[in-house]
Amino acid sequence: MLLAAATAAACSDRGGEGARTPAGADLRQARATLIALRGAVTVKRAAGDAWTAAAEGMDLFENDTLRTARGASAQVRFESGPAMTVSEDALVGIAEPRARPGADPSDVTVLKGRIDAELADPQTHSLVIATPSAIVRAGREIVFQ
Amino acid sequence: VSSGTTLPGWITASLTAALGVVLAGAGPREVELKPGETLPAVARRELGDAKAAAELRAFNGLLADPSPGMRIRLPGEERDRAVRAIAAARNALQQIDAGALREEAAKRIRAAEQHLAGARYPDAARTADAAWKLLSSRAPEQTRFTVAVDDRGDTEVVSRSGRPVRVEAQGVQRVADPGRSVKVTKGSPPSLPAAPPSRPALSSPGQGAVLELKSDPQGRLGPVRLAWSGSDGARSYEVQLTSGGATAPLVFTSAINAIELPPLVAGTYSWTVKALGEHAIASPPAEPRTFELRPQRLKLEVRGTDWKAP
Repeated sequence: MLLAAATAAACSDRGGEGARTPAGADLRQARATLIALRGAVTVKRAAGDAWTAAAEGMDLFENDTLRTARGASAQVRFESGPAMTVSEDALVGIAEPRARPGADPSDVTVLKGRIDAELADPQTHSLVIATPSAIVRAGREIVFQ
Repeated sequence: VSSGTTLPGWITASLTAALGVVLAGAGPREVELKPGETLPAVARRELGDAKAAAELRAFNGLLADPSPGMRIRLPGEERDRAVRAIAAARNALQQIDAGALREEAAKRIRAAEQHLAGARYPDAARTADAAWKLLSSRAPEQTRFTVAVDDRGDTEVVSRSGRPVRVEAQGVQRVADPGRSVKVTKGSPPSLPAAPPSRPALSSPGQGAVLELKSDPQGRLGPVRLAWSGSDGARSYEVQLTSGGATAPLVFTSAINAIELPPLVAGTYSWTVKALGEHAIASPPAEPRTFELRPQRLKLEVRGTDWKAP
């Protein structure tokens, strides 16, 4: 917990791409990892404007955006346990603190397309998904917001 | 890690150390071996585990014990990723009753740990991910659901298995139990959960029927026609047919409440049907039935003859 808080503090102090060290490593804590890809999948980092090709094993951080082209898909595993498959022609955001004004923090924001989510252990895992029209919650009840 | 799950001590220590490395400056870096210091001591201090000395030895390509003053390279984020993947797989192994797959998953995790010990981090991560996938596919209480958003921003949520999913919009919350779906039009509250199709009832052939059919040149029998009652809300039907000795059923799909099966070998078969509604939400399966297929007996007519030996 302290480490997580320290990490968050380090991130907030430096912010976005500024959180990178001279060696290029990312100081932020990864929220998810891309574990399987099919077809054209691209990622836009929180502090950048460029879409870059995704790769298996790539870490995803807060406010990163993932896009799948037609015929593509991506399997993502969250550090907190759940997993999701992002279907073709989709646009999703990772762990947005506020998907829109007044909204709750989410693990994923689905802006377009379809995701299939899995919680291997719903007693301990939870997943909050924001969309332009709804909030979807699954798994463990969220006591602390 | 934040979900309150229990990890083996060495992984927790290793993960904590990995985060420590991240906070300290991240990326591959080096430390100088001080006089009197050993590689296990460096491993304990930098990686959180004295047993990782062999890993440091492999990472640095050392054939003998390093001497004081030597610079020891420390692994970077590739190792963190591998450690996290192994932790996730171990966690899944503890929590999921994977039955016969358990041993295979445990074997893969051990292989991942061996890769880690050999500093083959991409292999370790890949092998651990494969173990995790194997285990998560067998989680009995796995909660599965689908969220789909169209171009207008409208949302459709389909709860497929496990625990219910909660859908909230405009201050209204709906609970979608497995097999039910909820739609949300942008700016409106969620719809009431839609029910899955009703359970079909098998009608023909009757329970325990014995069907004697002609065989084709390959010795297979047919045609067998299966029929069942139509279900409210069904868009199609999924037929599962299991033969006596087979473990995996044959699966057929039909748009109507009947199907003609391809020719089958003689034997006893069990079958059931599920109705599939919108988004392939399935009804409970029909009460299964069995039938037996036998080759039609040949009728041999032996008649007398007027033939006489010359």
